[in-house]
Amino acid sequence: MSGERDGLGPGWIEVTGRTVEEATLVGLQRLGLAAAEDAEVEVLEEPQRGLLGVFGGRGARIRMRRRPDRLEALSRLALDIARAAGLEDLSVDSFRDEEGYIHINLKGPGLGRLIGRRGETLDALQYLLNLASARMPGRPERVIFDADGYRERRRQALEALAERVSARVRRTGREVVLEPMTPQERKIVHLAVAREEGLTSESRGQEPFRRVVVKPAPTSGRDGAAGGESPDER
Amino acid sequence: MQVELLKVIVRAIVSNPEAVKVTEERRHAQTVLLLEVAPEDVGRVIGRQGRIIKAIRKVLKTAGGPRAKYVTIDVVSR
Repeated sequence: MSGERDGLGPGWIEVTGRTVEEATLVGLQRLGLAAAEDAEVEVLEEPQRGLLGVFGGRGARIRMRRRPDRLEALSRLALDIARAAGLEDLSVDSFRDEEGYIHINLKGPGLGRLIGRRGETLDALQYLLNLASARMPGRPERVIFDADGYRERRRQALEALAERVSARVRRTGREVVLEPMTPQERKIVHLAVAREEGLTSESRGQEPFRRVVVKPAPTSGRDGAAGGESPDER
Repeated sequence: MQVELLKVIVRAIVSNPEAVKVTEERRHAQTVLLLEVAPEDVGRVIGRQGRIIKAIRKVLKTAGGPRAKYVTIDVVSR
């Protein structure tokens, strides 16, 4: 029974046993794991029966490793996708936030290719990473994917925009219609406008051309809740 | 480049990654990627109203290099 060998790769151990099941049990013990779901198992050789069922038979040979946890697996997937897109020398910073979201942030040169026009590619990748997360065993967890801090930069730009537009609406007393945005982007603008005194916002039009409209709040004393849709869309 | 990219993405979202095969084909002036998946995974790469395949296309287009614009993806299963 050999331990780690050349070519096994990080974390893999090779185990033999009379049957695959027996080898798996031994491997679990060696890896310090409680259940077979915690391990990845690959059968290298099925057991072979020898003459008369005894002589010359060969046992099973398998390799096993601890199943990478979701954060690790998703980080690796993001890097694999980037590498397949021709991006090398990237680093990944991933963590779980207080609300339980998994954040995967890629850093390095050339990431514009994964961001795309107005973050469309970034959103597509985030969607695909969420599907991958949902396929993994255990309770599903949401993923927020970012490249080069794009989402944070975009949030700051949208908040600055909301501030400028708010000032203009207040000055002129007339509503301003913004460029089409994704639901996430519109939410950032709605929240920013909600912090402004005497102004309100709503969304108009159909996806993907839905736009935020910033306008003076009705003066009837009712708060912003009058008319239109809730700004708390998602 | 796109072949590898398509493989990496699709293998991560299907239930049967071993069955995923991608072959490149020239049809007229177009590059067509033939994506083969297990029958039970066809829905998982297309999605409701094509939402998943649309996201995959988007990624291949922008991330797949200079020729990526002309790529079509055909989903097949055997």
